[in-house]
Amino acid sequence: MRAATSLALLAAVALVAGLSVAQPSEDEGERWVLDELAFRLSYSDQRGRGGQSQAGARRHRDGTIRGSERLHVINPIARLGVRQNERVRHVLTIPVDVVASASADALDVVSRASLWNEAVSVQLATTIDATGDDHLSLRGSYHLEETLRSLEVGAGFVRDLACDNATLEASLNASIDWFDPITPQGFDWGYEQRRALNANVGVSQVLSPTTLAAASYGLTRQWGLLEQPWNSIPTVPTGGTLTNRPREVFPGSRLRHAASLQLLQRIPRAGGTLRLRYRHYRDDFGLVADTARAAWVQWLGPRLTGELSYRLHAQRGLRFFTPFIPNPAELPLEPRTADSDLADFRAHELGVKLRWYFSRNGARGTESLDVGYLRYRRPWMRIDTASVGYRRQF
Amino acid sequence: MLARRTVLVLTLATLGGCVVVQPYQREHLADPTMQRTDDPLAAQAERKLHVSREGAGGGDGSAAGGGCACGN
Repeated sequence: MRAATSLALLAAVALVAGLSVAQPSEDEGERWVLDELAFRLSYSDQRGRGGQSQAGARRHRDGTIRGSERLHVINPIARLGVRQNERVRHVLTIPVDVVASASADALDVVSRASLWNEAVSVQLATTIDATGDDHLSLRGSYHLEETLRSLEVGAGFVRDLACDNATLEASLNASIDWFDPITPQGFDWGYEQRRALNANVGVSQVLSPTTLAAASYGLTRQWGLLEQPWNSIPTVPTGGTLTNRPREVFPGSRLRHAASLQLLQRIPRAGGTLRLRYRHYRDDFGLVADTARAAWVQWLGPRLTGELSYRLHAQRGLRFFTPFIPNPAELPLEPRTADSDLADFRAHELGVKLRWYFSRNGARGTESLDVGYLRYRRPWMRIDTASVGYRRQF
Repeated sequence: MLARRTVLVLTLATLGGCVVVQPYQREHLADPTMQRTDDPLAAQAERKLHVSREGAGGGDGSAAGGGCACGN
């Protein structure tokens, strides 16, 4: 994992170094120029109790059996934007996740494997202006995380309509995960796969000189081993042990729908912008969710904005969710999960952010520094996230 | 049913394409706070949080589920 992280960083450094020595070639019209640079560092502190953890697991008054899901996440991300010529632009994004003190599952009781988990992705997206109104995009990403590898590729098309007052978007994506599943009892049955195909359509529309709206719909079909094989189901009355706590089981395919609406309303008199978003999700596992987010962004001065946001997520869990199993010995191998993330719940998220814009040649918004704080709260869980970010567009 | 509603919403939104705001009227639309994704990295970090802690993440713009060990 450290080698992979080093390789990703080396690739990024090499790219930047290459840019610094690249010479414009007027003959070919090529002019590799760095046009965007961004960094973000966030730290999350999660406190809560869930059905997957066996760390201090006990039965609670509501009948659920939960252990501690305390963990810390450090998440640095870097993004480089490079313009190859007038029509072609590339964006390289490298997110890194370092998860410490991850929840102890059945295997961790012995191996402590989740005490320190690292993951890194390399994501490359290219946009091509085919004509003045037509834009193509290609993207690919590779993810490394412990015994999991994931490859995703995609292609998209955007057409500007009505003198750039509207856009029509469509994209296709495919992904494949390879991972080495290990059951709660420690059985290793070799590498497995999880595949997904995804199609999206969307439109955006300028409704007035101060109003922008957008809508999108996405359809995803997944196949393969869809459960997390190390997830397990608590048993009553004690919560189970390494030997008798059965593993999670999912059906072999899943069809997922997601539709969203977005409205941005600038209110010049107040010096602020209202950002609204609504999303509806459902799938054939029975999970249905509605998510609404509202944010107010206020100019507090010529270079400073403040943002206050609230997000509500209401979720009806999987139809085969169960908080525990009474008699695992007699249980057939049918779909089941005790993953608290897939249960019924409502989650509330409150966020604040301050952003300072460095004015460059009078251009507002080309360079900024921001600090933010998010609190995510749902029954049995609370996550506090602090972040700092820098972005410069050249 | 969901597909029909989505098609209806998309159709209504597209019909609004007849609204034309001229370039000289776009001062407010060009404001940094009016970008659909005003901070791509912040959006990516928040999406990761929601994908790992909720069962309904992804599926719009990229595949839902998978991609990491924490995805639901």
